[in-house]
Amino acid sequence: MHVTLTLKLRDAPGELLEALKPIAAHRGNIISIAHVHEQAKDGFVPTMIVLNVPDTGHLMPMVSELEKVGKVIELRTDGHVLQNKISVSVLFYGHVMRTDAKNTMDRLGEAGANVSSFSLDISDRSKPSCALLQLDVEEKKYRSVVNEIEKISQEKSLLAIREVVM
Amino acid sequence: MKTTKLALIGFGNVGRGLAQVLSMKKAELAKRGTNLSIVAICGRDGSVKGEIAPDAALKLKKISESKLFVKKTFTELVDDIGADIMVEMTPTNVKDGEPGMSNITSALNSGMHVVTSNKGPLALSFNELMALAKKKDRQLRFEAAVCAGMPVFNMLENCLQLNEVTAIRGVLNGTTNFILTKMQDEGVSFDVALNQAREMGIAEADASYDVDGIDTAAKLAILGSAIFGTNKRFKDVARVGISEITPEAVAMAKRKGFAIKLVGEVDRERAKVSPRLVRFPNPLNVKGTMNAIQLETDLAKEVTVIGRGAGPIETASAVVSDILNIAEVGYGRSD
Repeated sequence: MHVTLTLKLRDAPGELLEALKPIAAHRGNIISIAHVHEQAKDGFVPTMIVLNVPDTGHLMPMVSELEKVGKVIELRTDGHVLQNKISVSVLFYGHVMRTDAKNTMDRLGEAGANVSSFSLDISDRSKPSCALLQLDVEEKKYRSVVNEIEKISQEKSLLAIREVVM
Repeated sequence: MKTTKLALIGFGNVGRGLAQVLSMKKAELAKRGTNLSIVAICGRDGSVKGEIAPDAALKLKKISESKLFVKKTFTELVDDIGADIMVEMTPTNVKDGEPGMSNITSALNSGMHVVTSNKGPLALSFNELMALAKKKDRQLRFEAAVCAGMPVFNMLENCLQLNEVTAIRGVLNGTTNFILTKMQDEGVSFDVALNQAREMGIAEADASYDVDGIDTAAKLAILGSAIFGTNKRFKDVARVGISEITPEAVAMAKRKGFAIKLVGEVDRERAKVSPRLVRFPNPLNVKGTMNAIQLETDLAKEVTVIGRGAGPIETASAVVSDILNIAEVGYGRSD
């Protein structure tokens, strides 16, 4: 079967090689590889790999291994999108630590977001702080993640500023 | 030369801007075979009733100085003016839409086309006003009501005819964009940036109309109703303003490659104004008092218009575009 995988690879030596290992292990035969540099952001470059895979019995374990390292943005087979991820940042301002930052991340995870980075700006724990989270979200779960961000914002009195996603 | 008679309602900044444009562009209008003649200028306490040249109108400090002044308002004179197009340019009022609401309904009922820069009546009663215009077989055009001189409705009508718009988002308020840009570039607090905006005449003494997102919400209500046909009203738009934004939040966003902008978004289901993160290379990342509006469409994909969303001449540019659409497309009085 003909498959197009778009992976999110760090713009660093060895990243592509690492991603190719599960593909080879599950008998993926690569036809082409293209780095989409114009869509690079936050140090990651979307990389499109076109390949042939014997069947879904080989494809799904391959995708799941790539998933574990958070690399799959989009998966297409025969022109149909099977999986598509959106990368979105959100800035929380308020008592981020006092309102249990771990709980905030866990709730976002339960709603369907993978928190790929977390930056915190805190000088004095008694004062409000800023946290900027980068989330990878499957397209179909995007709305539930947005709803969860809004709920967290209300319940924890945090100002939540979400990225505009095209 | 075809003459189209205009009644100007409201002779403040926008009304004077229109008179200035009509004076500046007299030769260009003549080349197009179009004569736009002012036959009335109406204010709160009375009106200039009779033909007046734009230059003569601009010389008046108050319209009551004119020899043609009568102590009657537009609604009292509506059937005696004989205008083809009423141009409504009174200030926006999102509580009850007045006096614009009564002016627009009176004009349509008396058989005039209407061009308006006033958001209030449209943000409150879009469908009712459009239904009245349709019933009276008149046009009601409002390009200037959303982001002044930036073309949105006329661009959709004339250049994106078969496109289906799926979402609209934008930085629709220049005052809040000025404040957030100051905070980003100079690291100042919201209050300091707001004071600077006041000193420069960009913000009113009562800035809540801008900073609480009321102005953006009114624009979203109009965009939602006009483009998605959802009869969005001002009160249906969810609002979060920018007064809670701190220099720390702005600085952290900046370090990570984002600007914080007050963004209005509307589609078939939702309409919301809220502070959002906008990546630096995003076309919505406009600075200072600039506005940006992005239409997401099925054929042309994302189309972004960037420009000045306020100012008398900029607003008059959109008003004139609507006037010419009526005057030159041959949609004249049917009676």
